[in-house]
Amino acid sequence: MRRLGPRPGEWIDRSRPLDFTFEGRPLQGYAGDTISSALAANGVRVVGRSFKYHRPRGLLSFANHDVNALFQVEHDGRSRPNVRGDVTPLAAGMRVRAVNTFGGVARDRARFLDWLAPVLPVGFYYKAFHGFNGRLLPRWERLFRRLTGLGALRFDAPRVRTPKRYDFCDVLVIGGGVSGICAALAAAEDGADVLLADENPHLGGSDDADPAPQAEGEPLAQAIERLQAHPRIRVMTSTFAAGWYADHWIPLVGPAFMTKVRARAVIVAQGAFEQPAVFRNNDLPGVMLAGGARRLMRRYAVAPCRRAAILAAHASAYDAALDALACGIEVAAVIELRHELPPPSAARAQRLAARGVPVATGCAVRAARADFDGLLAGIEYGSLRADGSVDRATLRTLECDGLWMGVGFAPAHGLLLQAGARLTFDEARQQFVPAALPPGVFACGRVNGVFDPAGKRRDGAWAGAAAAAHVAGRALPPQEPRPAEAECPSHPWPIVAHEKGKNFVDFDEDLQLKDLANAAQEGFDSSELLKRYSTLGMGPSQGKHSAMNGLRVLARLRRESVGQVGGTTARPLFHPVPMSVLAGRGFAVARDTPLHAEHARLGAQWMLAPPWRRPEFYARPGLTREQAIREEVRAVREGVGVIDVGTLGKIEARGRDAVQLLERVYTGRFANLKVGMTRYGLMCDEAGAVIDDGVIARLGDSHFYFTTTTGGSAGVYRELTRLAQLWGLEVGIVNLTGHLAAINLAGPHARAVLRSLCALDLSEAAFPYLGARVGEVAGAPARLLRVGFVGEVGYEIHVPASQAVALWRALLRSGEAFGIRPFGVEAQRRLRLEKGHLIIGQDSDGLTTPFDLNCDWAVKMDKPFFVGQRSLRILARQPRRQVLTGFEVEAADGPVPQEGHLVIEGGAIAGRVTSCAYSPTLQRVIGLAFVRPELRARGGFDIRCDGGARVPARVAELPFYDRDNDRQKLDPVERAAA
Amino acid sequence: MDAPDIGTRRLSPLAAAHALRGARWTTVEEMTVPAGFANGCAPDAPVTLRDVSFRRRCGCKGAHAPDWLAQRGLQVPDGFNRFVERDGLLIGRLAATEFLLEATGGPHPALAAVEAALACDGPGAVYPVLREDAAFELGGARALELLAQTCSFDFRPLAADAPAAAGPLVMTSMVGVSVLVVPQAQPGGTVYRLWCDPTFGPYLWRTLLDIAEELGGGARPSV
Repeated sequence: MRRLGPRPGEWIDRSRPLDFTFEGRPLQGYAGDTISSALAANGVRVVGRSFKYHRPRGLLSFANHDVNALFQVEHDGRSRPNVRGDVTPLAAGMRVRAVNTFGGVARDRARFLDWLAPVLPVGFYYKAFHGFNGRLLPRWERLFRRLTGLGALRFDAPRVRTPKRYDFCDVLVIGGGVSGICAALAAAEDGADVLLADENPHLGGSDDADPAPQAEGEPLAQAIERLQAHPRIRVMTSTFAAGWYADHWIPLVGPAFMTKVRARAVIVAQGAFEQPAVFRNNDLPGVMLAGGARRLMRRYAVAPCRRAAILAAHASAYDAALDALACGIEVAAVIELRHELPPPSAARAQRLAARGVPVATGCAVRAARADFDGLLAGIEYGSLRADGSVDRATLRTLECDGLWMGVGFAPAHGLLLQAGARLTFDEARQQFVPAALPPGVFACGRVNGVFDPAGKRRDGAWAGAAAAAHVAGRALPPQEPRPAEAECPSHPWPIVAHEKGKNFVDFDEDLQLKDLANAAQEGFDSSELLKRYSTLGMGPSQGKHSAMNGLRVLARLRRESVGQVGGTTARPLFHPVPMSVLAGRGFAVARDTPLHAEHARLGAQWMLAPPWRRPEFYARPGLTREQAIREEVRAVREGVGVIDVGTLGKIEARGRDAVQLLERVYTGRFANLKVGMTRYGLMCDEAGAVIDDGVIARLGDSHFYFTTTTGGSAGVYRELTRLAQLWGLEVGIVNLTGHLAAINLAGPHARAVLRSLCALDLSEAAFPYLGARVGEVAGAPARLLRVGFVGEVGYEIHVPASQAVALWRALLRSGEAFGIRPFGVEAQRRLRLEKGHLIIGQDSDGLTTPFDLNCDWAVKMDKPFFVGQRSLRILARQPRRQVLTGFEVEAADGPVPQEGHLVIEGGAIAGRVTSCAYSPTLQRVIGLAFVRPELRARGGFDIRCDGGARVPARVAELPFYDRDNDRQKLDPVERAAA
Repeated sequence: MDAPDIGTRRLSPLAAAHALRGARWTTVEEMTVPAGFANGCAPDAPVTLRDVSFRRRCGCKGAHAPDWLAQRGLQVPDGFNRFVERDGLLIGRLAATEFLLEATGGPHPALAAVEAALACDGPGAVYPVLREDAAFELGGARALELLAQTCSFDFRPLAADAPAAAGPLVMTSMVGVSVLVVPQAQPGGTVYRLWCDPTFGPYLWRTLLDIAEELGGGARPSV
């Protein structure tokens, strides 16, 4: 291959040479080149190795769809695997290597696998694992891991964050060929806002390579200019549509990012993929699709070879031959599969004949021949017989270093199928065409079975007008019948068997013709089964160059038509999308309480309670994590501590029926709750399973304020709102979770600390345990709840979020004299565990009932109704299967059980640990576990820890700490006085 | 992280995010907000973000809320998901019977009166809603591009014909956070007013600011 002289309309900029390397060899291309075109221009014929047999491979489609031109590219400090050379622009300094080689593409040490093909039958991978000796399985796995895969992942590669955009339009046109351009213009001129996307950097589609001026109508270049200047048309080039999702959401993938487009109508004008012929050694470097050869010549001024042979079954192959002659490339012959040429091909054949190029009709290539380096050196061809085989008596040979295949097409109908289109196989066109399209989806051009240039224009114009009418809610314009083609675009059987095989149907997976026959013989004879067993169409091209020939083979094996066999299910993504583009920027929603920065300044070590980040503990110089946590526990037990509990759900209910709502959604009774008091509440679902809990405060006759679990606020608010509407209650519900901060001030000195900051009477009589008050604390309007979650005198202080920092700092200042310490979530967990308090979600699961939690006292079955009551009535009559039990670990040292460890009885699972930790106050390991009632009655059980160690546990009465609740009654001064 | 040494009771919900950007502090309407940034942007930058959480606001909801507000002489939007702004008071109708009120030009007597009335347990079936939102103003020639990268709502039609005093109020999701957005024509171009739950504010601000800076913009002082 070599660079040609300047060509009209070429895409390269010869004034800007770019240096790069391939496999370490310095090369030069031009701006505008792709990696593949630059390699071709430098005479590189072997660009990769095949996936299975490691055969040398050259450019095949030059259309971004085949496996051959995938590269590992190092550039700008990044190493990217599986870069698609056909479309990736060349950049200065790129270091390009072939993927899937051992020691380089030229001397790939795995090339011996080609000789092992006879012992690597179809389904080899499955057969290797099926019933295989278990001891050897790991070796097989390692071998497969080593031999398979494309490219190398660098785990130290920097994270690439790419934007994802949303975009909107009335009509999205996918494909910038003649039909797409006409569709876009028609839709825009009908008033629609149009977005056109095309995978190429320039518009024109396959027709930009048409050597003849358009037979009728506006010249293509002029239409493109008009389109680009149209005020209602936007164009995205180098961008492909990766899939179709409900409501016409289409991900458009560009070189660097994805745009998620919502269109009111979609026109699919994606054209058709040129298909290879199947014959022995059809994968030799030098054998390529005719369309690819034309694109190399016309767009990049590269001669694909010096002496070409053309395998033809369509006029486009003849156009490739004419292009070759125009570029000074010798055309040795045209091997024509058809016995008689229809007018378009016949006219071109005459022009070729006039230039001395022979056309052998009714012939097929039986095999390609390689030279010493494995490159195409010639072909063997002969006359076709009626059964599709080649008459060996007529075999002739031809020397050539290029063979271009122009034998047919397969429509790019993946998106249409994803959208729910129904296709039918048109025998006259030898192609699947749309028979019925869903509303708002239109197809035109080659994907619609229309190849004739004038026909494509009309087809596109109708699709554009129809899409605009759909958007405007008008009746669609009448549609002409699909025009007949002057010649069939595709040959029905471009496939030649060979006794030595290596006639590839799927280039991605090295699938030979005999592999499909063997798969069908083994019973995998439907298109879906054949695909999965043989991996046909499961490689990087996703069947774009193999599925159609595979169907033809299967149809012949089953003695059915292609239409009867049918295709496989099409799913997004239609074309491989880089992971970095899929990941986008990687938004991770984070929610911070207003005190987040205060915690950070105090050395908080964070734990995730998505989306919240909470201090697990506060690091202290010289203290380990465990020591710091124990210090925090001690501070609360002996002095005073402060914790940010702003993550709790905070909901307000006001109105005439507020109490009715609470009576119906909580298991407890709230009608008799006095104003200024709080009560613990449990919430169940219809099945009687506990879903949330919290503290309900009555601030007025018809005014309640209550907390929910950290994770439950949004769900509880949503459910309460739904139920209030369903039941027709007059109640206003407000979710204040984010708008109110909450701080729990707890410990024997809590009252003293608070006293200096607020004017409320905090005496036991005026503000008793479980009381609720409204007042000011440190100048902030506050709601105060007397709580005892951590087992000491505690005040939950709820203030507007913007005033939380001022309050926090005031509390710390006021508490300095008492040694106040902020404490984190882990200290809180231990404190509440000592007190035997539950954490819903940790000490319960989706099936836990209040009875399992020993919370019968919180369930008022005599109420007329509450959610879950009916189920609980049934459950109450049944024997209990588990009960939450306190336990102490008997051994002073040894493994400490963790949450989720199992209780084992008689070799079977008899329960599980829900909470367990060392208690600094009690100086032993304590915990909660669900166990069978008989184990609790027995007084002990065994817990199996990590590694299998058994830890004996003794049943302990709850709470572990302050059983008489004395700690809630008085502060130290008052207690001493008493 | 340098948290502001606040002398006021109110601190912007975005203060932690501002501190990471080297904010200098000032006080507006009793709230500590940024007076500038170590790497702020020019007023005419392609995308600008401004923390306006300091504005006084409140909410109310309930079956009688529309009539109750009207009786107080306030013009409420005719339909939900609409706003009106008059004499420095913006009223957004979030649902048939739920409203957001914000004083956009400094303390507003009508807003104070509404707050006071609601605080006294208000009339029947009208309930106060505490609004401690993080509030931003997003502007600049490339603001739409930022919105396109962060939100699946199509703001283009609204931007082209953004109203000044009354128009649509959009309730949507932006990078995973529920937001209220009001596109509004202002002398320098269309400005998008955003409100979100204050606990999501720092994340939303950081995320938008990162993208704004990629687009050549940045943060502007609150005043």
